[in-house]
Amino acid sequence: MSAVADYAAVTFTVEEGRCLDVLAALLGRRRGEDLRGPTGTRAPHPALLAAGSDRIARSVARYLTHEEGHRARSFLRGGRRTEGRVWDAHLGAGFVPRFTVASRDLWLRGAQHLPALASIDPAAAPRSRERTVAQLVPVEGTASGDWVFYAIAHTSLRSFLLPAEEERAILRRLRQGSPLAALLDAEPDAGEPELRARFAPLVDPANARVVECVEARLAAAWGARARAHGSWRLTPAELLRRWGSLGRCLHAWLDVLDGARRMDLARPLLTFAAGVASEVLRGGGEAARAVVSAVPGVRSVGERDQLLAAVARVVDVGGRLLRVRDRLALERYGDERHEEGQLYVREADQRLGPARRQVESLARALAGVVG
Amino acid sequence: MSRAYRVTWVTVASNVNTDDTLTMNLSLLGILPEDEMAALLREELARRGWKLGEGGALTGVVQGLDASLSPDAAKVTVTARAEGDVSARGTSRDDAKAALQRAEGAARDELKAGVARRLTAAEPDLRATMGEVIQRAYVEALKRKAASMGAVESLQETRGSDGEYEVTIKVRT
Repeated sequence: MSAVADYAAVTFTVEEGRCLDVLAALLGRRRGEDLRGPTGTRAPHPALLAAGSDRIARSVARYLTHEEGHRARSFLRGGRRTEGRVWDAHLGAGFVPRFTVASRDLWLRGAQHLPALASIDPAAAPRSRERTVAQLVPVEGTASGDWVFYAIAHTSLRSFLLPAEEERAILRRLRQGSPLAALLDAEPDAGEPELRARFAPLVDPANARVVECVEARLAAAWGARARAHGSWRLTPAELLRRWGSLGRCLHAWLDVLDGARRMDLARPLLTFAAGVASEVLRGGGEAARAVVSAVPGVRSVGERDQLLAAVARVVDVGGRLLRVRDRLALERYGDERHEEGQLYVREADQRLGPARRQVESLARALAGVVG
Repeated sequence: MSRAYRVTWVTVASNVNTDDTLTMNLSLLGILPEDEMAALLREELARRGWKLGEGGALTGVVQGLDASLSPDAAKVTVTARAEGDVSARGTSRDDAKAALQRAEGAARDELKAGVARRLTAAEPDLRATMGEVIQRAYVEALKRKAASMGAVESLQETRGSDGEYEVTIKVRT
């Protein structure tokens, strides 16, 4: 008998129903702001646990296969090229999103605390709120399925309308527990060595399927961030922080891919880099310099140059991708990275090749180079 | 019944000044050896009225701003300055000094922002001017390179519709 049939016959209490509602909100299937009242999770019924776990697993599977799952793409398997769609068994090679108790704990603790946190007075008992937030999201020992669930929850948390400080703290914990969430959201204020260490498990052969399945989501998330930052509506300090964190995140990810010899996973980076040059900064380097110079609140040339350098670093993701392309193009038949190089060169030429000149001239202009 | 009070105001004044610099990194193509390229750049700037200053730097005025080419011809620094008078008053000298200190801070911030605005507003023209100078240095370098290869038969300079500058030199070797 399937898990669905097991719990389909069980009648849940109102509290248990609310508990599942919180899960639905964490999974982005309803809003969390109108969830109030006790959720009855002190001794969850096994059928409730089965129902919740099943919903998490289904949502994770949908998240991995929903966008562009039908499109055939090439990936490396043991250094050899192979092609297929997301659900093709030979590409999956036995991959199953692995869940630990962390996912269930996030759901049950979220059900217990999130509705209460949303209605709490921000000024009241800060220490107990901090404790609650710290306990809400387990960050140790998470696995591939948890990472995806956390990434979904990271996107959905906003619907609970939590006080800003609590929301920030929970989002940070979710990113700590999920390298995927950290990659999608360009973890702010983290250095590149730390980011490289956090992203490394994503290219482990046991987990890389997750990244292969979310290519479109990655490119869309980074592109949305660059477009938002590129509207220049924030203070210079905030813009510097956001462009800086995006640059650090993308360079760290590129380091990890190159180090793991998985440049086939760089498609989202290629799409993003082309989009930055042709869309976000489509006016070219001199126009970008002028726009950054005109950001309200810039008080000195040094401050302006710092901001330009942060933008230039994001643009340089494209420059680096092109340099890696040129390096891998030299791999000859029989060389260790030949197959990877062939695959990557084809993708780079297709996605970023047409924007090569724009990327290079943008990088030079943003770096202030004349000549 | 009313009572008259006599209030003595103390007025203090000072002068605040500030400056800011804009740096442009120059990247010269290696048509000729590095020192010859740098010399050509200096020659072109000298033709435009730049003068040799302290420490071997070449200095000139571009868009009304003081500019200086570093001795290694690797960067151009443009400086803008501003100054202003500030005054403040208080019921005692200490009050007036404290008020002056606050006024100086505000005036300095305002002057600094104004200087930055002037520099960044002039920057596109400055970069275009330096681009032209470098282009002239390239043309001269190409001529010399061509002459070193043989007899120059013809030289044609054209600008394409996309703004690309093209120099065609025919050399008999």
